[in-house]
Amino acid sequence: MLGRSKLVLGDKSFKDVTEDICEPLEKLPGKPWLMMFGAAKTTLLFYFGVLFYIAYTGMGTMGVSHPIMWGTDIVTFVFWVGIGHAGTLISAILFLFRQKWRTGIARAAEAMTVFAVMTAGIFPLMHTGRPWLAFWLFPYPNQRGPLWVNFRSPLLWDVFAVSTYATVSIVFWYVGLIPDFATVRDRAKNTLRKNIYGALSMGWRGTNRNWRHYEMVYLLLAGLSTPLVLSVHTIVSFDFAVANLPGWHTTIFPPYFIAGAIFSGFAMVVTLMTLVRIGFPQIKDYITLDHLEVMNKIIMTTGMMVGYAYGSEFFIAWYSGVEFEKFAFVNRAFGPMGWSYWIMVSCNVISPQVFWFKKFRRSIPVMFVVSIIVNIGMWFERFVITMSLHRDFLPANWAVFHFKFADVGVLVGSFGMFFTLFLLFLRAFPMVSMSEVKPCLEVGRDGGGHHE
Amino acid sequence: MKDMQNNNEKKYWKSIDQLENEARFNEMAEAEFQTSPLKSEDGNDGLARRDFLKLMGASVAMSATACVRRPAQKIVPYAKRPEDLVVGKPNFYASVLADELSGAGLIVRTREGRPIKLEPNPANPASPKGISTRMQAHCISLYDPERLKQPKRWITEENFHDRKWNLLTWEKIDDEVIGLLEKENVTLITNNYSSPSRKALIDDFMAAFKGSKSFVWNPLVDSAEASAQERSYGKEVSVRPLFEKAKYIVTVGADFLGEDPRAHEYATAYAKTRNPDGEMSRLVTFEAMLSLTGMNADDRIRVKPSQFIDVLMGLAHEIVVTQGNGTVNSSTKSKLAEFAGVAKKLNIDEALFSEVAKDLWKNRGQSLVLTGGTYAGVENAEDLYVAANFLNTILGNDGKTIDYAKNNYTTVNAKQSDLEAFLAELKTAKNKVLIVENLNLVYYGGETVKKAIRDFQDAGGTFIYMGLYQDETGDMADILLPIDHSLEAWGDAEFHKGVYGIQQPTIRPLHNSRSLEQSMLNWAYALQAGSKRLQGSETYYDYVRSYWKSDILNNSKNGQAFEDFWFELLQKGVYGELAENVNLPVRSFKQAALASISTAKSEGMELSLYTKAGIGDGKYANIAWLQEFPDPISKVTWDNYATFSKATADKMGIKEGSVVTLDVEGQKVEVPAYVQVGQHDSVIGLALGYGRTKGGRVANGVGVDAYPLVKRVNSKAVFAGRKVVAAKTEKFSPLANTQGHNTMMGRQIIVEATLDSYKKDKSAGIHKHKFLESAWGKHEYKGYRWGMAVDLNSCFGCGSCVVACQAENNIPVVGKKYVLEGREMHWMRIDRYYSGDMNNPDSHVMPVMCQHCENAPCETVCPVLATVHDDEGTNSMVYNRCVGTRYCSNNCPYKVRRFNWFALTKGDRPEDTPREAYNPRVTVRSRGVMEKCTFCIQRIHDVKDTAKNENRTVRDGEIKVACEEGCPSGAITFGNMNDPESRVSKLFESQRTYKLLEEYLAVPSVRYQTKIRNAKRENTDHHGEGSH
Repeated sequence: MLGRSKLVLGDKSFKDVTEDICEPLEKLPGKPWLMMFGAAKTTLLFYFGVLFYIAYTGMGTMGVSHPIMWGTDIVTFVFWVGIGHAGTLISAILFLFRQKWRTGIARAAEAMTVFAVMTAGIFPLMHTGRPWLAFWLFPYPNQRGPLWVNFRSPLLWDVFAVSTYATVSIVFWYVGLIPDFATVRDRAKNTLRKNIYGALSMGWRGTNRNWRHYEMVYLLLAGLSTPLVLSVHTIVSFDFAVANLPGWHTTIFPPYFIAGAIFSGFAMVVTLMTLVRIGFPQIKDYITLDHLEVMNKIIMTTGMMVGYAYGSEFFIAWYSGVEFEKFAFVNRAFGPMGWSYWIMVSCNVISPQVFWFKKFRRSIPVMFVVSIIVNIGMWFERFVITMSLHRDFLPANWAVFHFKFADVGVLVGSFGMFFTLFLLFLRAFPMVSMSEVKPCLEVGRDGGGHHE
Repeated sequence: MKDMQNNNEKKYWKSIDQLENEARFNEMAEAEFQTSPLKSEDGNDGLARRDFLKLMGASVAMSATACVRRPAQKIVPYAKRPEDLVVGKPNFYASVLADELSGAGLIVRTREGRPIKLEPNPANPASPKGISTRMQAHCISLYDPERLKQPKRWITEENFHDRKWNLLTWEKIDDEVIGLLEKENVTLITNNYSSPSRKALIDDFMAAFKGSKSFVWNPLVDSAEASAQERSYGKEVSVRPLFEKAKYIVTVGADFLGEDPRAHEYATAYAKTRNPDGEMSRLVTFEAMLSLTGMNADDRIRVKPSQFIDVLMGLAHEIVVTQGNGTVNSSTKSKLAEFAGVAKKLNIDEALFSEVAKDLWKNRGQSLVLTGGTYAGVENAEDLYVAANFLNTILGNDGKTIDYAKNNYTTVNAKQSDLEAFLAELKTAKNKVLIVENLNLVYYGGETVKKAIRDFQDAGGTFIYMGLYQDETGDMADILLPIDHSLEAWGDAEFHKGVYGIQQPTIRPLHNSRSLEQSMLNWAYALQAGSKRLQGSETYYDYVRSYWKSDILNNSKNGQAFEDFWFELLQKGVYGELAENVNLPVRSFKQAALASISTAKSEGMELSLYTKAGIGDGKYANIAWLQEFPDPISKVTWDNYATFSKATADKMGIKEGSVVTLDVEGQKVEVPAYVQVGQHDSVIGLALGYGRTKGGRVANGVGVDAYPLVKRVNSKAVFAGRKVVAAKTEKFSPLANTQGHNTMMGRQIIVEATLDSYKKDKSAGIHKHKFLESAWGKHEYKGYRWGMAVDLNSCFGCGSCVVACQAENNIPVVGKKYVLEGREMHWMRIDRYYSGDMNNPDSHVMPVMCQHCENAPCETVCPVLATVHDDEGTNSMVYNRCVGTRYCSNNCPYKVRRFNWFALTKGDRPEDTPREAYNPRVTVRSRGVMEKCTFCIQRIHDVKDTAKNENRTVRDGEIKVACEEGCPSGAITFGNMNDPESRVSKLFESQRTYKLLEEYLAVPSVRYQTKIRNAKRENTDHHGEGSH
């Protein structure tokens, strides 16, 4: 029988774990962190500038135009929402399936989810013509009749789906953090720190009662988030699938989008984890190569699932017999914007194939590069789908999308926002769930020795 | 007990108060609070606690919600209301628009005294239906902020650098001019005009100042026609083709549906003959470039301009010699013999050519051979006309389909020769005063004219320019005088012989302007010169009235009292009628006229200068609507370009936007290229009217000036057939093209059938889907249900509707930069597709506006319900509710929605529509809002209100939407689909009707009727007939 490799390396004691994980919170930041944070924050400020420019001047500052009325904003929105899937998947679904290996990466993945959803949330707001009125998308009591929202519109479902997902992910993440906050509080030497983490830990004392309630809430939230992992991207895909546009109007979208979301989310987790392992070497014992290898397997699997979806779309377009559908897909690959299709295919379907080889699955440089390629590919997947707009029913309307400064600005800027938040997280919150890792240690097991 | 207690118990007190004043203290001690939370007792101790909390809450709330509406400031409108003016209701005045070379009866819609839209006057017998794009846009030129506003004098100080414009009063100007006129004579040159009163006045004025000379010139006037008439028939006359009577039309270079100044008039007449259920006419076009006429022709043959003469003479040869018809003398016969085998020489399908000749003869007396215009403005244009006259004579069309005496055109006074005569006159500098009125001589005439004027000024002459702008010519003037816009002045027009229109001013002059006519009257009066009529009229209004009284009413001898007549005239706007039936004898053709005709030499590439439907001769270049109007053929805005045929472009490696150098006998221009399918391979086209340098902020720098390429020799203007050498440069200048793709990709978009197949099957060409089941329930329409029928068979693609819609609905202009990005705002567009052989394709046009679908895909996806279905079937857009998600546009299969990408109505860009020109009935849309065709909902409501007040339902045809009203050929019909008797319902029942993208099941309320071509070949570009 094959032995299961250990989840935490280095024969850690409970104290070692606490020391390792609390260290980044208790020391002044090192140069690499400061440099990365400086870069991320500058990009964030640039992002604010671009967003102000767009909101002040008009949506025409972006590449969107007639007939391609959705562009970079929506593409990038779906991209970030997709990335936001991995965290909840890892923490909730794998939790329900009692996958112990999730403990090392769950916290960081959840943080990534929360930040990705926050980053994503900016886009639908900023993409509207009048963002200052975008609150009209919420059904709130008003004096205009009252005038309600259109419950038939997928865009409205989207508002609900994403806001629910954001709320639940944040709560789930926060609940998981409470015991760890208490640990940080208990270790704190100055009062301010003690007070802040004391407040964050909500009076956690580690009693039996505390733990019982905590575990129950965590389980319930895991149960609650699990359908959300599936529903959010399903509903995001409805934005396209429910519309009548050839290339959008396909029933395959919900599963295809979810597979894509997991694909890109895991790729982003791999990107971040490899970076964290470099920045905080002690974390290598918690986020081990085994973790990364498992994720690479999932990347490869989901990559092939989206690949299957790409093929299936073509088949269905042909099989439907609808001339517009047929044209839309041929045009997608061979039309004037076919270049983006081939970027998508080579990034998403071809590049993860290297993970058939164990050597590559466990190679940090390879997985880092592939994970970035996958995310480029997944951005282009959404781009390709959105660009179905460029050639639809009446050829007189056809056009080609051109990127403008603001398009690049919001795309790059959104990474500034995401990384600023993530870097702050690394220094302010325990990046690995101490309370979940500790039970996975060998310490205190019967005999206390090593098992084979 | 009590007493005891009182007396004997020890008394404790809490305070001095208790001890001293028991009653008050007890009251206080019993009360729970020392002060009332509700209200202070005496108001002296400041605010009560509860009040304080209230105020604090309010101030917090107010500081949080600083957006308080401005207080209402009431004003009282019109304490003394002018008669006939109801605020919010439009007033309509009949007037005319006498464009330089044509005219139309107008109804001017005014609101609160401001003219806001020009509409055709249905009382005008010649052009009752539509007006041209330029006429539509004429209205906003009134409000052009760059119009000349003040009389100016160019003062030359001793130091050259101190030359400057001085603003002067009219009194000062009058003093100076009168002083000049006392001593000097005048040379006057004006643009062409069709006003009889003005002609009389100028004649009177010229008579008063003997030695003065007047000239009339227009850069595009086709004076070859008149001279050819003289050469052919011995008398100069301007004839009028009667399209409504023609069964078979052959055009050689003539673009009567597009470029012709009277295209709006001809389109109306021609459309009448295109009824496939009646006797449908057939149009065969020989042309070099693709024109609107060629696009709509049943058969189109490519010929280069220099060979037009071969076509006409070849047809004559075919009819007379080969087929032995008609009687001609022997010299003519031998002349015609030179043109044997033309079809072969020109590479034309010989069978088709001889069939055309046969059919012309078969339809003799009912056919029409046309030539002329700038497309046919070759060196020997007169020969072309003579040959066409000859054909029309032998075919017996003269006097039948060609009206030379009854209601022909009488008022084209301009001659190309006038320019030469004028320049010669100027050179003598005998008359020291030069007046140029409403004619941008320097722009049209170029360096030659510029130099002549300079010389004249150097010789001590005074140059007075009277115009609407300080343009290229105005900039050279000594005295610069603003004239009235035609909507500000009295005037009249003679459309045809015996058909007159009266031009009423609809607004007082906006600026300190005065018309030429009024100035002449003032000057003549001051000098006591000229006839009684000249001196006796205080204003031009008086002059017009006296002219009409003496010259028009008296001649008509209808015995009406003048005041009655005048009042009726002002109401109706038009006087006189067209003859019911023109049946004049065929004039005898002087066969000697043919003697000098010879086949022209043609080698290499030939230049073809033309004018575009939007910009025309360039006079209206400062109107942004027209600059952004997509050319009906190329769909390009904001530019002119050298057009190349596909084969030539491929050979030269030219793509749309490649910059090329055109070298025309030494004159060079650099201009971007456009690949125009259907153009003759050895022709390069270029539009006139662009490249203005002092046309205004909109006009300046748009395109290149092609006027220097017009050859003006021997009293002729040569527009076509000049030798041109093109060279490709490495530069690239993108063209703002509004259409993305030019073929239908085999989809059922524009359905076309030949007349033969239509006769067999009324729904020929329409591909029907057997199973079309909608998942949606049907809406219920209790009252009206609005629908629109667009007859593609009557639509010629001129685009007049596009500008009419723009004028009616306050549609902003975005400018070239944003058209390039696809941000143009037109609510309706004309899609133009090609099919078949791309060397000489069939062209198809289709107006597309919001289809007001029954199952509108846009409605379901809007998250905030900003686009909703109303109970009369229209799809309404609620601008105020729109947050701009643009989902509606993505889900619209027709992509007719337009988004306000920027704030386009702030009025801070030169292209912005002047605010005065906005239609107050239509909301001006802000940034970030979606918009689209509303079916002119404001017009629907206006008519419905009227009907309701009169306690009746809306009559069919009572609502005219803007595009319908602007359409010269009557292709658009709007009405109530719920009324089975309405025109729309009847049209919808026609088997020729189909829905655009029917299988999509949006069930549009706009439906189209197939285009029928009276031709042999079937159009194969869409997926055929039958059903599946």
